[in-house]
Amino acid sequence: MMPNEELSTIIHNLADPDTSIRRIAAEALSDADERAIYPLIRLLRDDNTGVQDAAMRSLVAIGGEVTAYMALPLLREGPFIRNTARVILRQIGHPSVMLLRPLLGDKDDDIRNFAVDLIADIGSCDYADEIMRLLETDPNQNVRASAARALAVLDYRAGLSALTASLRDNEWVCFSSLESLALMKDEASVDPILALLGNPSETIRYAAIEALGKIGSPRSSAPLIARLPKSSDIEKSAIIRSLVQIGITPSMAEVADALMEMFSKGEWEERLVALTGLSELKFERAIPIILDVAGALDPSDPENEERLFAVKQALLKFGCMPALLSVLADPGVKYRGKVLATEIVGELQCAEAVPSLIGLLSVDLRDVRRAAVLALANIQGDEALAVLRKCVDDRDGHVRSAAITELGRMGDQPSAEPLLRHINIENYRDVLEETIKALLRIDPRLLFSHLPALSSEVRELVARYAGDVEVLLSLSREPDANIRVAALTSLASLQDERGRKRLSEALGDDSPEARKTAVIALGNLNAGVDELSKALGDKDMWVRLYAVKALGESQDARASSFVIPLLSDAEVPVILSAIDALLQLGGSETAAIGALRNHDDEQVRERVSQVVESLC
Amino acid sequence: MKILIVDDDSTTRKLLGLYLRAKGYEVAYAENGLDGIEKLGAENPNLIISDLNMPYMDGIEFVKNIRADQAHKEIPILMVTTEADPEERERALSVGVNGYLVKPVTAEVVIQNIRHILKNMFA
Amino acid sequence: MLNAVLSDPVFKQLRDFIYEKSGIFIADAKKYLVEKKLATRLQEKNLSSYDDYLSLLKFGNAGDELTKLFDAITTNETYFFREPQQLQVCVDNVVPQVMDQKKTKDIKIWSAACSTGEEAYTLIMMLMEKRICSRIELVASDISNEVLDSAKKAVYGSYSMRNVPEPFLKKYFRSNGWTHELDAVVKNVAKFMNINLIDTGKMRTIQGVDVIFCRNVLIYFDDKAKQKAVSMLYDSLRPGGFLFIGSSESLHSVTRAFKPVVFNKVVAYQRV
Repeated sequence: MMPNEELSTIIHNLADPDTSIRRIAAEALSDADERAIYPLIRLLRDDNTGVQDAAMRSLVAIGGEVTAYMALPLLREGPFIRNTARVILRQIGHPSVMLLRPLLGDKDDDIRNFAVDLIADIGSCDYADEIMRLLETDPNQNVRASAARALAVLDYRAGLSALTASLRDNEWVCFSSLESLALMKDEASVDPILALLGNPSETIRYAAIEALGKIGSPRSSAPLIARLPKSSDIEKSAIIRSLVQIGITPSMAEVADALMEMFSKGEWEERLVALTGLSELKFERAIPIILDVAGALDPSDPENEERLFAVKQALLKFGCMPALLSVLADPGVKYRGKVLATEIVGELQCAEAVPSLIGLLSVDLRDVRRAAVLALANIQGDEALAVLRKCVDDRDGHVRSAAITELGRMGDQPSAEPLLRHINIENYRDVLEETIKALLRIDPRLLFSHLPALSSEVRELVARYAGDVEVLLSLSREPDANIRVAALTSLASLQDERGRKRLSEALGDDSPEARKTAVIALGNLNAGVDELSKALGDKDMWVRLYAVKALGESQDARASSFVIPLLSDAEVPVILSAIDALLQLGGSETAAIGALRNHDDEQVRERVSQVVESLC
Repeated sequence: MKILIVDDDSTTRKLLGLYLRAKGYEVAYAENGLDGIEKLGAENPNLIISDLNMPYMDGIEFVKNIRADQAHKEIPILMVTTEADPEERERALSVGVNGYLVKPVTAEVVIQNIRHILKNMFA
Repeated sequence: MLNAVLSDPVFKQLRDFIYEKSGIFIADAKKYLVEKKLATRLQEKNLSSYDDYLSLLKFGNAGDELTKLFDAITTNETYFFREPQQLQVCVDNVVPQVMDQKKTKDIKIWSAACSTGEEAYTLIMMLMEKRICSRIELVASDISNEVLDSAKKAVYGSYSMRNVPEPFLKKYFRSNGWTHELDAVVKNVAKFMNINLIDTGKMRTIQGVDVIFCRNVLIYFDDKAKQKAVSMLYDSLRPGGFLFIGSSESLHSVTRAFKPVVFNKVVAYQRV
């Protein structure tokens, strides 16, 4: 609770002539309690937008029912204040919902409207039946339309029949109800909606067409197709979209053109539908445009990931068409579009593309080169393989890496010796790693037999990736600690008794990293409490920590007595881990944990009070 | 002819958009006054249809902003809102809207009002 | 051999941890991405499960592994002269206007979420060419030490260079086969710092800025984190200063603090 004096000073600053000071004061009140609400509400009327904004944010931060309660009357004021109140109530969220209920019966049409919209935007309400009644009986059309929307947003299934009945209401309400039925996707509403396809209002027909598409019932397709000749351009476009969504793309000439138009000019929601349609029709002329649009997408935008995926899936359906292949050699195509085309050509295994792909291996951009290697690997065949094997010595590390990985994945025997030779000349660690991984797949015996002659870096990588227990055991005894650690980590994931025994031994290893690896592994292998507790006295903090963690997960009641002494460990992380472990094991350890209440370290004190609070 | 529709309700935007597109108008959309100001610069519409009740910047503030901006102060604005109160209408007209309609509106009424406003502009 | 699988409960804990520390919110659908990107971290730290990795993050001395975590999950691709219309508006309209208002010829710019530095250096070069400023102060920040180190070196490959106009290439870069190094005269103007956009303490250290660029990073935040970050960016601006965000992004449902000003179809947000 903010001390009175501090609160007064801040509130006093709310009236300072300097806008920066007022804003900082408003921001500071976000940590305050209910006493700040009224001053902040007054501050909403400040001249400066930065100050207003800070006041809004602080009111939301304080949140809760009291703030919501005090914001409600603002809904009856001037445009700025009432609309700001709407934002605040919405962002406060759930606490506002109960307070909005009485407003559903308010005599002011706009207040009822605001209330319904807010409830929908907040998204939860346990009196949706009252909203349904508004749809059925409110005298104001805007309120009825908002009620229709709310029922869908709240997914109030019991409201479906009321929504269907409201299709007979006037245009404004009917439109809203159609949108709602589209969202709720109920098969039973298809017939009443089909009946609207002949409605005199174009807007209603349009909304009905869209709803049928979203609901997706195959029953709608014949009536929709029948409407095509009688429909306006706008309706036609909607009908085609809906048909595609239902799963039936009529192969009429005008449909392909309409889809192309939709794809080039529409927003992404429309584009995705058009994409489905175009790929169903395998309309070759669309390929360059699709690649162009996809190529312009910025992949660092998270929204675009799904779009790129959809484009790729659609293009895969087209098959190895000339239009796709010609993109590879076209210098005018944006590089991302080219990469996409290359990926697709590879996945489709278009053998005709090999010459173009070879050409792409020396292009300026790394992603294109890499994609070309992957595509060649997918296509396989003699010519492609020959090229891939040559790529092992390419001057570009990315090409080498991609080629080596693919040769490994394919298990290409002829590459074994060349790869072994390559180990000695490769400069980049990540490519070296791929080389070793590849050899381990193709001919592990060959690699193992040369192991003693290879560098320690190589032996460490082998330890990391090999699956042969004998070799790993041997590597786990090397003088180099890094190699031992890598080998132990690998042994940990193999279900082998010899490996387990070695891990147990490793609890006494010189290297703390190795001991840590051992204790983590033993924990994951459900080693017994006695074995794990040996590590509790280790001089390395991390070994102790992971031992404690493993004991916590052991589900063995005896573990608690071993963990408790670690509550007095010298290192804070170990203490925190011990607290967590004891909680996991259950039992009555509150006393032991509670005793740390006055520990020197703040993190420990905080954790202890959290725990004590939650247990009480 | 391009019209910018500014309204925080997606259903209204869609509905008004359909009315206008059916009559051959090109349409752009914005979600509130701030969005409207951004889009104004990018889209250069011939007329704006604006709601009154919108979050972050309501219709009145939006219109005031436009009327104060040298580049756009003459642009015709039709307000379409649920607010039926005559005082609200007065306030809107006083800050410079060229027309004020109360929802719900039919396509005919909207188009008629748009034509009327545009005609008067060139009169 | 690593076969660790990222379970849903561990993913949620990781996701919450990342959100708390950086504002970056990872949607459920992106779980596989996190799994892939963190697999290398597990290997580096010789851990065999994501849960163990979580322990390392929770109980370790945050700093070090946290920065590596950020390196792993942020997409760092950027290039010189990205979204040139915005850059042009900054140099042709915004900077002159701000200097005029201040009655001085010095300018302070902040490239927030600078990644490997291309944006920062682009602005410096453009302003140098324009010759309107007597002093350019450019602060560039990111949450990833790896990219900041790279930015300081200022050596770039063909991706970053793909939009650089010929005159700039000749004047400010030294080419070395496939890489290009930026001239010291440009490099030395930029100051690089590690700043997390939702870390109040760090954000407050940047004050009195004339122009802020914060492009293509707010898209990773959810509404709450976005509001917080944008609010602090506002606080860092001088009154009259401007904020630029990505051209496909908008603040119209995030805050009303800024005034949107349009120059040549480009939107810039002004602190009035």
